[in-house]
Amino acid sequence: MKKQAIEHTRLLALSLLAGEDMYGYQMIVELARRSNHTFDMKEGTLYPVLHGLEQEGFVEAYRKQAPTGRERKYYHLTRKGQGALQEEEAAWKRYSGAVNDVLRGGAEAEPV
Amino acid sequence: MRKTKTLSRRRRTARRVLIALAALFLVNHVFLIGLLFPIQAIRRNEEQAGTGRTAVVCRDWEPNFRWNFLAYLTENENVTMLSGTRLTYLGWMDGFGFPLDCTEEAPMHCGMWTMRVGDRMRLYVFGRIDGPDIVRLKIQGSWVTFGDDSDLPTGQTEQEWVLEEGDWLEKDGRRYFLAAARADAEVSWSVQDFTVIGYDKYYYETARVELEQGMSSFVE
Amino acid sequence: MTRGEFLDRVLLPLGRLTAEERADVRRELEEHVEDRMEALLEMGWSEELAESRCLEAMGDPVEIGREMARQYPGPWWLWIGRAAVILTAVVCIQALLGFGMLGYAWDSLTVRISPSTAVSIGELKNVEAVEELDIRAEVGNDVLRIYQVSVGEKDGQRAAMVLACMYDRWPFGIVANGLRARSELLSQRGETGTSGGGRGTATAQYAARWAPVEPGDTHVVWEYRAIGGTVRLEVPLPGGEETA
Repeated sequence: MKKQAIEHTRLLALSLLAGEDMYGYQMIVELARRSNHTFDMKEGTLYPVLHGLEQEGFVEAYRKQAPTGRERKYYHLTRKGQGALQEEEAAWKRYSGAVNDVLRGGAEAEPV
Repeated sequence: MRKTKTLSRRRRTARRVLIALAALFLVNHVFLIGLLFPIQAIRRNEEQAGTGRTAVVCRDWEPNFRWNFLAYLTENENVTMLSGTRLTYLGWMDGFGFPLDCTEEAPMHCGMWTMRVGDRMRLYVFGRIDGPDIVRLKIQGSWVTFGDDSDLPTGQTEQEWVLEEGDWLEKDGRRYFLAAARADAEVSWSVQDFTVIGYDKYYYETARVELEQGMSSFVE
Repeated sequence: MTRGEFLDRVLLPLGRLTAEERADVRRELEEHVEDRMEALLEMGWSEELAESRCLEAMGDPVEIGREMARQYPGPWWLWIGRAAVILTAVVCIQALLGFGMLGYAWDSLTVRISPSTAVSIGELKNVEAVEELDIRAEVGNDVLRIYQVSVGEKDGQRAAMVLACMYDRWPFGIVANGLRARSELLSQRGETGTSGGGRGTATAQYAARWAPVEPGDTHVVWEYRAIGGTVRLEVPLPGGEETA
């Protein structure tokens, strides 16, 4: 269960960075905003995911001054990361499509 | 908008390895030092002797003579070469090479190389055996050592080697041999009358080569 | 739990990371807590409550630490990198100590670009004619190049002197030594002069040789005895028939 949560987090992190470079806290805030607070993950768990993505070469990190005035560690999606994002997105669509099919199939079967 | 980048482990390692290789290449080829492997120094000896590409027949290491010195016997069609290299703080250095020209037809080609460092001497007799009927070799000679500054020798040593079928080295379909001896000599030494004699299977002498003083080099 | 304690717990399983990497992790997490705290303080929370709320929201520090440690690739990446740094340092020290060896690189360049200005190895008296040439031959993986011929007087005879150099096919490469010892200059009648000058280093060889010539001679021949064969280069005399 936990591993799945981490894998979801990877996909979410990659897609957040597809738009623009962000730092960790910014990503948490943005994630909550976009999903309407559906995702209630432990904030600290985002960072191992980001570090893992960096070590694998899917993202690059650099320190820069944030709009708040303080310096923060920003993450940037690399080309390799864009490819990974596409793959994981496709995998997710297959998975969620399959789940939907099963659910729909169950709903259709009832009237019979 | 100040920007300082952080690198992942893989990137850092890749960059460090690249820098190391670039530095090594530069120092090897422009400064001509910093060789990591002895065989690289032997290739340099090859180049300096003008022998063309040779193949290694065997290696000799005698720690009692010099712990950081290696001698290589290498060969190609035209040449049999004995050369040496020593490990210094600047890496493996190319040393003297003795190329033996084997282009002429002869039953045996032989060479002798003597070296001295401090109070230690090393003597090599090497060569190529072309005569098909030669099955046995006898190498004989002697040297005298001098313990003090006078002209009187303090010791004389007779040296003889007998080499037969199993003692030879084969490479590229040709037969080679390398014999070595070492001695201690406080002041100096002098090698005398080394000869190589080849015998056929009936113990008849079929070839004889008188060796010249050959190369004598002072390493260091 | 205070902020400091929390962060220490996260760092505990990170023994495998370098001190720099650990400091980076700590700083990043601290900054996150800082940002979250600021948001809460603005809303009116007290510092104590805000901090405990933040740390709670972060999650289990040991979990975070363990998961973080898993993300860093194996130790041999570090060791290879360190070995590379050591090698670079050793090589740089060697370059510093062997700085004089740069002379060989310089020799290698000057022999290729301008051999006649690099070194002076031989001269005739009463020189009648001098000509710069460029006649090359490949000897193994070296290049033998005749670069000058002159006619004049040597040891009381009319003679021609030829200057040659040799270098490796590749710049900075090592050349076969003994250009002077292995070379000879022959006249059309096969006569040769005595002695000759020369100079050689690991990357560049120079030699000068002379031969007696007579009026009407058109050329002389440079012979180089390489292992495995002799190379002969015909060198035209300046002026040709005009040396009468």
